[in-house]
Amino acid sequence: MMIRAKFRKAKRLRYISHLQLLDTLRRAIRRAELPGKYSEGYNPTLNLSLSQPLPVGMAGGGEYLDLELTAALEPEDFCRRLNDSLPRGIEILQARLTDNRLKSLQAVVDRARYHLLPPLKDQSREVRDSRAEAVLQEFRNKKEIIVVRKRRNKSDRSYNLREMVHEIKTAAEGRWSFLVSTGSRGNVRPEEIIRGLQQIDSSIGEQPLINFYREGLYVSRPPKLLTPLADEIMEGE
Amino acid sequence: MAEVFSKIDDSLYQVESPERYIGREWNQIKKDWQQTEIKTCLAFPDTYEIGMSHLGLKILYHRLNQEKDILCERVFAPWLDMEKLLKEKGIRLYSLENKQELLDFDLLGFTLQYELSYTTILTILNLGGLPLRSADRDNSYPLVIAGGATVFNPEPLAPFIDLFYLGEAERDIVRLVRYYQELKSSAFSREEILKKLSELPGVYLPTLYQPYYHQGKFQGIKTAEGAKPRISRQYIEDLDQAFYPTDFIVPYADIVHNRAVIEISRGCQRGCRFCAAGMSYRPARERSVETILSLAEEIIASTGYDEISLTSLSSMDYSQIEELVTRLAAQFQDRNVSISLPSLRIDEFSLKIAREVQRVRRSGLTFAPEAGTQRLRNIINKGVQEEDLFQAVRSAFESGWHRIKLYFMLGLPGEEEEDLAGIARLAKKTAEIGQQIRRNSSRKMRPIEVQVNVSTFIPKAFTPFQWYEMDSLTAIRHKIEYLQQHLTGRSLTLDWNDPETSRLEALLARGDRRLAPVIEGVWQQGSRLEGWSEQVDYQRWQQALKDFSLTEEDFLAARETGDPLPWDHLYTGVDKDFLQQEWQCAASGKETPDCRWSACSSCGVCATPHSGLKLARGREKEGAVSHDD
Repeated sequence: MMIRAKFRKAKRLRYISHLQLLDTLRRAIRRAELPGKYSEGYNPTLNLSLSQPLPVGMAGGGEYLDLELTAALEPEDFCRRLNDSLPRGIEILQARLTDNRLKSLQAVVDRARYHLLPPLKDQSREVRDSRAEAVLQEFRNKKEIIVVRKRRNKSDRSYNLREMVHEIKTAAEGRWSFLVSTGSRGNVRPEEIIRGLQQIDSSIGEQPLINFYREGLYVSRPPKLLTPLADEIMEGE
Repeated sequence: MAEVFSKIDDSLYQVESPERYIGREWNQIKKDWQQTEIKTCLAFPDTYEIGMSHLGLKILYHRLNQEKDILCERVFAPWLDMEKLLKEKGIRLYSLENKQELLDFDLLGFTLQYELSYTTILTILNLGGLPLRSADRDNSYPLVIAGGATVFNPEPLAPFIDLFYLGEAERDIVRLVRYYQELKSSAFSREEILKKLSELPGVYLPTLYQPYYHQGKFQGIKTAEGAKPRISRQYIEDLDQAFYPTDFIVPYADIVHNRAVIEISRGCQRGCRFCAAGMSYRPARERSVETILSLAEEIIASTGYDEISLTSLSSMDYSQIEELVTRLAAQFQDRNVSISLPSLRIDEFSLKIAREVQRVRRSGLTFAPEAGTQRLRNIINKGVQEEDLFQAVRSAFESGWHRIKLYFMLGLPGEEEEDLAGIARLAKKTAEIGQQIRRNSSRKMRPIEVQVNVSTFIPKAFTPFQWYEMDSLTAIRHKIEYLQQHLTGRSLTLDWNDPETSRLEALLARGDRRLAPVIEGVWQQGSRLEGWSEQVDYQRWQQALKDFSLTEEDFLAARETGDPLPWDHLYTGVDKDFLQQEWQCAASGKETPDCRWSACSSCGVCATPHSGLKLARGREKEGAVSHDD
């Protein structure tokens, strides 16, 4: 039996790393005395896994966790009890229980939506908005935007960013929204979106990670875009 | 959120380990800043990870926050990148809880954990906006107090700190803080306030004690009229009744000891003559098994930790260790909580306990013979026989442990070449025992590893060896080279402390107030966070000493037992006569047994023989400890 939950990581807690987040959740689950299942072996640890790591400094509104359970419990109960044991900044938003065998989060999630504060420096709101629309439209119209990925201990590699950006739009407060590939079958790093934008408008400067927000993680099942908690996904393989 | 933090919040992604600077951990205590009258902040002169592993800081944090009218927050030293960022943004160092500037607190309390953190104290004062020297601070600044492990020679820091507190502060800290607040709200001058505070037990106001020198030599202390003739270390008499927190803060960062820490006893009577803690934290006092079991229960529930660490100077000497470990293991058996013991004694009994707690995953064990021959172990009063060590390691290998760490010291009084040869011999024999067991073992065993760790002995204040000299750099290096040449072979590795760092530690541990400008000098040139080896600049210290016409030898050379010592006006409770007597016993290789299981050695700390010892065993009989005296 397993529970899958959606959570938010925000405010100051955006500064804790993926491993620290995992430890924080494990300890919170222990404090909340939830019936988590432990691994066998010398060093039993809770069978808890998370979706793709958020970069340190970036907040996320639709992150996911999977926890194996030894006993059933109401999803609402799970959310409430875990939230009572979590530091402010991490919040469990929704959960679903299942007996089905699910693919791991990192295997199933293949889309991420990033919001970005408009990186334009124009003074007037009107000018900014119209320029924003022009930049985004040009991005959409391109067939190819080649960006270079710097890889640690490996040679640089170029790839066509445009192919991996699946939706471009404006979100609340004029934020730019990009739905991109994520995970092992193709992955766009947020800073590469900026490098792509810079090819369209050279006045766009480097953007710190905190200017990004990962709105959510998704599973693409064309023509649908699902969340990892959708019926189709929770039904298992 | 305080204004100071909003200026930096969005830039923290630029620094390494930003979680050090955000606070907001589970169990953090953040009180209403406006509504709480007395504001205190505990400062630790090293990074967050080091500071949050320090038990004393946690005890005082929770003790002060127990009081409704007092808030207690934390501040740690920023790493160099964060220091730079703070300066760029033009903001002062802030507390983790309310993100308030240090200047806004009534009291700032520093932990003195080790000598090489002294320069970092100046960093915290400076980044907090406080003048470095006590003389330059008036009543508008927080009162700066300091205490901790190295407080028994605080002289090099004297000009920077307003008051030192000698000993265990959890009992009287609230009284001190309240009294200060009371004095502050009356019309007293700063000088009068400090003087009045110095009347409290354990409080040391350095300005009342002026050292004098003659021809570059410390001659003694002139005590101001009306001042206490000596300042006595304070300690908790009954540890079982003493305050101990259970709602420990749970850091995000992977700190050194990220687990439930339970202090099972305080003090040690083994009487190892090199050990400052063993001499200065007497008498040995234990918590009862019942108290420890209930503390463990509460801490696990409140923190969610999956490991309990039983801590003390010598856990195996806890009088009820077997009962404690058995019951703890039973209590947490089905809850995926493991138990760890930091220090093992070298005997079969310890192995039995270790087997009890580490039923699974047996990897490494640590033993500390400290010296390579019986003669030298007698000199330092480390009552370990060679056969005990071989028996213990044999037993460890047979039980499945494959890695043994052996700790030794270089530069002990009376050390000769045969003692270094002895280190090599013990290590090699240990490896041989292991290899033999592994060859004959029917189960699969990982390759045997024997890791030899040598540190350089530092003759510290208030130990019987305080009159002894510190080895020269050349001598230390020769000895390390000797070991490098002789400690070769399969399964053996050698690790040693940086000799220059040891010399600096000794300098600050044995120094007097003439070192204060030296500390300030190297700090101004960038020395800070020197607990991190890459941060130590020995040449800079050398130059600074020269600038003030001092040499290392002024502080590190041997002293006559009749010579005045810079810390003579402080009193740990152990008599100087006893230390001298122990120094003489060392010279003749005579051992002094642990008074817990033999006669009183008259160290001076108990009112009548053994009266201060409060052991878990015998507590049922109204705490009486029976001894044949």
